[in-house]
Amino acid sequence: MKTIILAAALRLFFPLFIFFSFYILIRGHNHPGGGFIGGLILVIPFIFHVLIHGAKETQEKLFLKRVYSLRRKEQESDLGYSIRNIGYRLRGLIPWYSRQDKDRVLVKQYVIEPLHIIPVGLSLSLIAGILPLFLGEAFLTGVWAKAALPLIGKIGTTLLFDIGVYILVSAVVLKITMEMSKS
Amino acid sequence: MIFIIIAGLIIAFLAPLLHRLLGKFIAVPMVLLPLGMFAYFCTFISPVLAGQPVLQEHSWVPALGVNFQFLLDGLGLFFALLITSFGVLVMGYAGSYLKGDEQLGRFYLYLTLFMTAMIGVVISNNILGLLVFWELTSISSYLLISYKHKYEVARASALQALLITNGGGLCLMAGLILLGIAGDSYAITELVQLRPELLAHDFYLPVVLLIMLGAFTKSAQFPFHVWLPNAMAAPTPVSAYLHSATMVKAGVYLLARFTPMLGGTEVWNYTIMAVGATTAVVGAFLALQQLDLKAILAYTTISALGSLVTLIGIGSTFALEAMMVFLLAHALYKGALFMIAGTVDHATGTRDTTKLHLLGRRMPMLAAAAVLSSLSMAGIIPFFGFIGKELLYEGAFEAPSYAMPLTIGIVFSGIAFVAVAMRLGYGIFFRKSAHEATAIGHAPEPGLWLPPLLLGIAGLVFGLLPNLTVTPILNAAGVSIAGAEAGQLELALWHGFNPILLLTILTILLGIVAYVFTNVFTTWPVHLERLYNIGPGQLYYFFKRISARGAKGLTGSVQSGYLRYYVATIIITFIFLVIGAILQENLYAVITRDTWIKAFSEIRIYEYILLILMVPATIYVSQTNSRLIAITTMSLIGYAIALAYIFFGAPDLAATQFLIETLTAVLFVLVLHKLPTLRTIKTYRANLASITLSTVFGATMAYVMVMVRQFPLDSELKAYYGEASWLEAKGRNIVNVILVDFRAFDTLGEITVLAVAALGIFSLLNLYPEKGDQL
Repeated sequence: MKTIILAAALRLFFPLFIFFSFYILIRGHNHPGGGFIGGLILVIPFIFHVLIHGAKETQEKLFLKRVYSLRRKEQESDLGYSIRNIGYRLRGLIPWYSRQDKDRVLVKQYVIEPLHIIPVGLSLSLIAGILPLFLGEAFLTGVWAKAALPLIGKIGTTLLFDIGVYILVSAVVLKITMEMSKS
Repeated sequence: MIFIIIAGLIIAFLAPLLHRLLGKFIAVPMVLLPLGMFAYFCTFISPVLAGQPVLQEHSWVPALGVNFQFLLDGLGLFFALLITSFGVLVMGYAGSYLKGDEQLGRFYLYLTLFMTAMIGVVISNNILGLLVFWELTSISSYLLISYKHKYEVARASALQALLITNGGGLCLMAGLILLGIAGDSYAITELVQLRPELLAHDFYLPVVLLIMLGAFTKSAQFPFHVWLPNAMAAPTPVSAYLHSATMVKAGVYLLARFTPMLGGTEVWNYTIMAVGATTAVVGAFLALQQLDLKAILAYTTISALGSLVTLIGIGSTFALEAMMVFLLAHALYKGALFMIAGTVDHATGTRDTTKLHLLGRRMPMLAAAAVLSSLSMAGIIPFFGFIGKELLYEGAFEAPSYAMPLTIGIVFSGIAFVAVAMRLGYGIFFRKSAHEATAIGHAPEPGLWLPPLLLGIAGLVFGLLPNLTVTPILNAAGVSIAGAEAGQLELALWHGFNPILLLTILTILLGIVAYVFTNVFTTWPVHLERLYNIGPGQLYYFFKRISARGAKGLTGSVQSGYLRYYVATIIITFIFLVIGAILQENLYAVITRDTWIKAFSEIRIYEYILLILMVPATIYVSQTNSRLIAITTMSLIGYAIALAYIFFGAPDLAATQFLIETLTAVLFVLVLHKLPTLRTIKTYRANLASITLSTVFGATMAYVMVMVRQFPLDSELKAYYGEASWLEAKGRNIVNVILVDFRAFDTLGEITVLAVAALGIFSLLNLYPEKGDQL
């Protein structure tokens, strides 16, 4: 179902959906929303991507992770090279920062498998349950930090728990979608 | 103490990562972990020796009475120190033994997981907490036995160990829950106080039998011993740690722990005594017949476990104290001998005793370790094994009842021990024979001979200076089992000339004779083949076959594979339950003309619109022949329901419903072309049945709704959550607060189910049956 209008629209809406899902996740504690709904919203652009481009292309475009390193200069020491590389990697973390360095080499590439994200979500929720034990509370008791963050508000273990649900739900739905659209 | 457990779990799961980062140096943090734990437990020695057990409590699920209560008394501390000190040696040994193995990180994960679980078993005061850790040890044992999972033997042995020990674990669970009901408490310290009530309780007999089953399966008692020799498929560090020094002693620990609570009755003493003595004799008899180093050690371990259990069954104060001493002695020499067997295997590539000769020339340090530990095993003065064996004999000799047969059994097992110790310490290392010395691939590195040598030296030092080293802690452990009158034990090498010394000398002499006639024992069992064919080993396979066949038959008869039958089953069950409840509670809906008027006057105009959308859609969906139309129409109904949620003020629910409806439709579209054509049932009878079923279901639900409306809505709950969610959980959205805070445990369970479901879908969709394959 390759339609140019949908494809173009999706490019615009992709970040919007992600931000919106995150917004829904954060506001969940006081207003309608939360990890489950947020997670479902998060996968919407991915599902659209699958519908438009097919599962294979989605995997290549969105889930293929390439790790680059800088090309080694002649007679460069190990230490200097590693430091330069660390700096390069850190720069890469800045979103929308140009990574079009000419002298980079592909070190390795791998596909991020949604099935591997599921345990990440599950363990985040579990950790949120275990953290109160350190404070002498029962398992899964909500514990809150005294300080609050701007935009997000109070932070507590319940937020961490909800983030775990958010990640898990989106990964599960993503996995099911990818599996079903494979031919 | 909970931090010890949490630290253990965290480091266990970090192990694969550490392996990737550190390579072969992963052994360093893995050895430091048990070392740190050992040091931590050492800090508790002085209060425990002073007679003050340490009790700590953390709540886990307070509503169910499942709490982490940790108790460190003499018994728990003794085991904790044993587990952690062996942990240090085994972790180091494993680093050398499995050097270069790609899966070493995974191995350390399982091993550390096991160690943590085992510590949890011995320091839990809550019996349900104990059970959780108990099961965790079974699971980690399963993973460790199947570590070389490419070999079918390893997988089958692991499964056998899991089925037998977890079968016992299920019995134990039932026993502990009954015990909790009988005593109305789940804390061991409280249950011990309730001893008179428990002994008189109706549940006493089932509780005792079930707990015994749990202990016997774990400690490989006859006839459940079959899994232990097969578990030798695990890498040798595992055999040394789990299957000789610690895990198999969990059953002994359990019996010892429950002795002050449930012990002392005839059922308890005679059952345990009989099972233990049988195991001791059978294990010793079978050990003599083996040729494989690890098999020999496995069967002597079974025999030793039988002796320990026998001592618990005898139950006198002295016997219980002797049990602790023999347990320590056995752990020391058997752990060392297992590691030696592993090193020999590592260096020569074989464990067959007939192929191993004169190893002492090339591996002097290993030979020294072997001599030290086998002398201790044979019970030669001045080793700790001698003290252990003396006390073992004395415990059996002075048993209040059946002293004579017990002593004969124990002495028989002692004779086998001497013979086996000679084969291990002398036979393969020094004995001169016509054979050349066995070729050695490479000389073992220090990591492979140092741990057993340390254990051997410990056996010698503990034997020479028992009162300076181990007596206090053994006494403290004795007090935990046998009460305050214990704890006066003074260990000494020389007890004077008495019948026990005579028995010891007799044992050694007969043991040497048995060693000389080793060939007879190893070749003769061919004649016993028939007996073994009906033995417990075959019985296990028989039960496994039967249960597999039964499961297949049951599944075939219950699972039709047609969705409509499953839905029908659910609906019919539901209808019967609801109607049954209505009839039993005498709840009848009062339907008068006023009810109708009131009901219809309450409906708002846009709710009619929903009705107009939904009713025709419902009728249409049952008529259509196209899947696509059916799915779209179903989505229409789903959206209408979501709208209804909005009308009645449940935005969270509505949002979820909208998203799920959309998602379902999209997923259906993705797989639509793969589904077979929609088959419709057009027979008159089938239609009639479906229509009747749905009509009855709809009518029942409508009736229930009308009936519920007669009662005022109980708003206490709503008010409580409305208030508490802001004051206690700091959230204004009640639904979300309930999900992530008040009922977070449920949510955790649900997302776990979701994760498992994703795994299931993944494996089902990737399962392509070959032609003729049965699924």
